[in-house]
Amino acid sequence: VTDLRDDLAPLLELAGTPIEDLAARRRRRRARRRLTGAAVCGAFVVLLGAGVVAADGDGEGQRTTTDGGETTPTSGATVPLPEPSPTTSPLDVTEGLVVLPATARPGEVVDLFVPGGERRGVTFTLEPWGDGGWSRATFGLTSDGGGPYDRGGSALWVAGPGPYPVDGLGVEGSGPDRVVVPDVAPPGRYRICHHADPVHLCGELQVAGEPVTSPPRPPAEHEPELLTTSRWMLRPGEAFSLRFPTEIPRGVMSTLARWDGAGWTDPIAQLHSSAAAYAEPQVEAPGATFPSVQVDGPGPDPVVLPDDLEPGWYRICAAEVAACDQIRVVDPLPADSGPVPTSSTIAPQSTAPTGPMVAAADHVTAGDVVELWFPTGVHRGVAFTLVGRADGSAVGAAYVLEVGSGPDGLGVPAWAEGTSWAGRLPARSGIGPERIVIPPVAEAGPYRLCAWADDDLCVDVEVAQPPESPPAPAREDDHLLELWHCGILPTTFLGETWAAEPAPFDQTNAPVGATTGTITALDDDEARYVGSDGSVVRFVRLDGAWLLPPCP
Amino acid sequence: VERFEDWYAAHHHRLVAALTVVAGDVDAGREAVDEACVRAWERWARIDDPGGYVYRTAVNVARRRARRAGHERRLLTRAVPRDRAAPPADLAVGLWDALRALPRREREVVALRLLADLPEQRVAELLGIAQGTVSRALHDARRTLVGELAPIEDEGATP
Repeated sequence: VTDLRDDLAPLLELAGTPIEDLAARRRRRRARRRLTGAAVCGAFVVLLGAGVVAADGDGEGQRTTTDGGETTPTSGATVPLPEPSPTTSPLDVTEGLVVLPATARPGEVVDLFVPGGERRGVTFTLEPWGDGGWSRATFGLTSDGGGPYDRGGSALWVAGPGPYPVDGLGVEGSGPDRVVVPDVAPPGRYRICHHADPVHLCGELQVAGEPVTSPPRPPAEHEPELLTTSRWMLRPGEAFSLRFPTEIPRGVMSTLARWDGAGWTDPIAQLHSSAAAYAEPQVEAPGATFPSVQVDGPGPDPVVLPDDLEPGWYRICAAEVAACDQIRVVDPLPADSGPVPTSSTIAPQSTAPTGPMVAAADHVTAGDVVELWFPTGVHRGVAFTLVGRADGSAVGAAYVLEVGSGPDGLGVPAWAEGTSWAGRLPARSGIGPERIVIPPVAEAGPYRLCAWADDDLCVDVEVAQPPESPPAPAREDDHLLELWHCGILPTTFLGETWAAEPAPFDQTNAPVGATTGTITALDDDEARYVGSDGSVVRFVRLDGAWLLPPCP
Repeated sequence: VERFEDWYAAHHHRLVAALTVVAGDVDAGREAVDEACVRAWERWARIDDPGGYVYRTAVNVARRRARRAGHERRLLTRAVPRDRAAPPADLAVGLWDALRALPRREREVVALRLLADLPEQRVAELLGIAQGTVSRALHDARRTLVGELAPIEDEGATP
């Protein structure tokens, strides 16, 4: 053995991959996986709000230990910071995020702009500067996000040494993502970061001044969500939109009432939707509280907040229907905050997905469930086609994907090969989401996903295969042979069928103990059976049917 | 806790050598090592036995790719004559050819026992076979390789 080692020694001189190249490969792999993670972002955000952070109320102004420990209200009080980890962050990044205002008081709301429009989640970290570096995260912040996941994250911050989990990457565009500076954060220099390898976004923030007391919050509305706003933390004069998942008929005017600590005031303002789709002229009867114009559909109905609103909690209700949602109005940005950054390459963050059909992720993994959204509520079927494509041409495998059963798209989505539409045409509308499953057998590559609809309704997705399975179990097994009078019957092993070739014995002349033994896979096509009597039988993997051969 | 970078620096040469023999090809072996190491790096905090994890994963990756290559080769075999791969490094041509001609299991055992320098019991655990099977495969492989090497040494001894 020693001699052979010497002969093989030159192989030990082969160069391996430099660690830098390995790191780059790791980043690419993680980026790919995170892109697919966007599909489950919504669910994750809900879990984040319900699990990591104490869910007793709104969570605002609550100090929560990351290990699920005691929750202590600390609003308006300054507490000592948890002991920062001695390890400084290895990443000296202070770019990618623009924080406005650059100096804020504890408890104030700051806007995070992302000029590069990178995909991101709703969790950020607040890291203090000290000992010549950025300490590990001391607070985890939850932004109000954007897009279809903007309702996630009921808690605004948690305290304790990081790192904090990064949720899915369901937000993109230039922002702003809005976060609250913890009202217990001591004054000093901080950075706010979003750590999602390979994208690290950070921006500096100076915390100074007396803490700001949060306004009293009204109790949660316990009625079905007939109306949802596109974001729930707003500054005066800001545009946002209203959505109506159940498509209730309504007027184009909405009312705004303020929470005074004990109840809702009378309406203090009316918001007029400027939806261009509502072509019917508005009719205002003299003395009428609301215009009589009726509209329907899922929205979004764009509206603009008045410029002169006081900070606090408000309730916005659609006209003529009992559909309301709550928003928090915060102070306007200081006049000396500087220019609001905009993206030069990516459109500003929209308040709702654009286009008639939007997939929650454009990079998906075979076997994943993917959500499809329909912002305009277009009528469609309950089936979709997924067709392989190359250079814009439809090639390769084709599948029909059926949404999960039930009116809300819940249930188990299904798929089948081929493109037959038979029996899958009932009309459906609403903004969704519809849940479909990417066939686990779909090979990796570019695909086009299309809905059945009057208009061309397609999105392009990139399908990846899931990570390879963990190491295979042992390819050796105890085994029992079955015989017939002219040989050995095919046997099943490792999920495959194997045929004896040639059969050294049969039912008429098998030695004692020959039918109990051990079978071992020699490679993918060949296995060896050794009976307890020492007899050896060679098996080959059987492709196709096995026919009983004639007896010799 | 050992850092991944330190572990990689200490072990990757043996990994590449062993997987080159397992895969029968330098590039395929290196690719299997890279893939296994990246996976290990991602899970570094949760892996108790990095060596076991990486060797087992790399062998599985190499097997999977060999299977795929085998299918392609069968499809192309009539159209494209099979290349005779040049030996890597300064390995003797005859030894390299003999290594590649070994049955898969014997090749894996040689790689893990002689190049990765793992004990037989450990090789048996990683490949999911009995230790006796490892011993037998190593014995068979050694007999084959020494038989192939003898003519080479004889040629080298000829003036």
